[in-house]
Amino acid sequence: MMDILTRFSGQLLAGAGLTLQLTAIAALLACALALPLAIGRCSERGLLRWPIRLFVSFFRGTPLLAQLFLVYYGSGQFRLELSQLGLWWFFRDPYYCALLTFVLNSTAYQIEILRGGLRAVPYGQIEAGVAMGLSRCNQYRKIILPNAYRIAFPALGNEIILLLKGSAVVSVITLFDVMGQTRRIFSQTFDLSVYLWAALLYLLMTSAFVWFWHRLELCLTRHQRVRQAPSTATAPASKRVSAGVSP
Amino acid sequence: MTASIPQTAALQVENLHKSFAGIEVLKGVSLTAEKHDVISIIGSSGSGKSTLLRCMNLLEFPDSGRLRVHGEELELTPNHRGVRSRRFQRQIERVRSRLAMVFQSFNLWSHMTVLENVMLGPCLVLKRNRIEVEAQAKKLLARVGMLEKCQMYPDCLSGGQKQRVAIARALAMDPEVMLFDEPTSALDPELVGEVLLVIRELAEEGRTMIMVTHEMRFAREVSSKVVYLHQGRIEEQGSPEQLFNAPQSDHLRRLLASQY
Repeated sequence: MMDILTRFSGQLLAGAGLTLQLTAIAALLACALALPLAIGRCSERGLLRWPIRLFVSFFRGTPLLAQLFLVYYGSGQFRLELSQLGLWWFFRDPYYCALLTFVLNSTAYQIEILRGGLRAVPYGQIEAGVAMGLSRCNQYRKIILPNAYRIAFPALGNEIILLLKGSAVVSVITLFDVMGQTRRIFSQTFDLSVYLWAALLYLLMTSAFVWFWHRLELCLTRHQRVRQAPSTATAPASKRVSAGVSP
Repeated sequence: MTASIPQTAALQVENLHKSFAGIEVLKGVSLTAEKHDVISIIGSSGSGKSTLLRCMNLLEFPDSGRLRVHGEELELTPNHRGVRSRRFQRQIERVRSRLAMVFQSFNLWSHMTVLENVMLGPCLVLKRNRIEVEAQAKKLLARVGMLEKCQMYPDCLSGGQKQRVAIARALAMDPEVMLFDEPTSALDPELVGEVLLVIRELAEEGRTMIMVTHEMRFAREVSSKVVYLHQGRIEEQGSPEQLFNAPQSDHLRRLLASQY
């Protein structure tokens, strides 16, 4: 069991590198795309709202694997047209196809997550900004988005973990991520324990991510926890306990 | 526009109408706040007091009427509620920046420290120098007795403290008129005093203020003018002595009897 690990650790780590790379790039691009689309999704104008709803319902409502096949094999049907448009180099490459699929899929989820966050911003806080004459742009920059992202933060972390695990599907379009490497090693050795190592590797990556995300969340929500010394020092003991600084 | 009204009025609304879902909440209200006026708007709940106040800085958009803030006049019609021209939006923002609002539920920005809360408006709306703004913000926080908490977040403060910060935040805009929307209604009884004290000081230094309040005794003590709103109309207005000692309207008499 251990010898599999020692023999193939290099390949597994290379696979982990590809998995992390795909996930990170897709998550970041999706994050950038999701923000304007989520704001559009909340818009009162149907012309803006409906196409986004359609996009979201398609990418949320169909399997990631089916989307990947549609992009990778589907684009092959239009090879001539894509070549003429000068886009064939992109769709020929399974890496780019996977990335595109993940970006679209994750954008759809992140739009809905952000929409929830935007709707949950306490209206009074927005109103305080409006009443002060804050421009729409500054309202978003200073009040709405800082609140919305804090509310959406745990759900965004969840989505990124799902994306990381979901990225295993790229192994079926010839990419060697963790899953792809594992399948190759298994076909060479017929040793089932390699799947266990692969599972542990995924667990390690998600655990590291969860830890990192948790630290970030603590930092972002410090305003909800920090009951600083000056006020608590003079407060009665009972109050000090209930306001206790969390570990 | 009648000629008798002087141009120096800090805030003037004329013939405001506002309906919500077909129910007319304001049925043509006109009110003028001269400089240094302290106007209290009283009335039973549902009389439209808060709506009137919120119409003054266009948090609610009136269906019709005029609004005039320090010489700048806005003609309000229902079609302004949808898409507005950029110029009109700018004008609205400018008017709002002259009228500071203090809310019943404080509405401090929870992710910013006390100091950041007070500094945001002057920095971003008035576009003033950050260092000056910080010095001024600290001065204002000291005034309301909140300077030592300036690095704390609103969640750590009591209701009375939050409201005092909200007042400092409003003052930082150096407003023409301050609007108070039931500033003590969300407070525990023992915290009401500290907030009223601050408001009283502001009244005494000659700030123009309009407040919606249920604190009758306080209204009587600090106001220069009291307005009684009933079912979307101003039923009676005048000096506090007039209204509280010799109310003309039956409704007002009944309201006052229930309070004392």
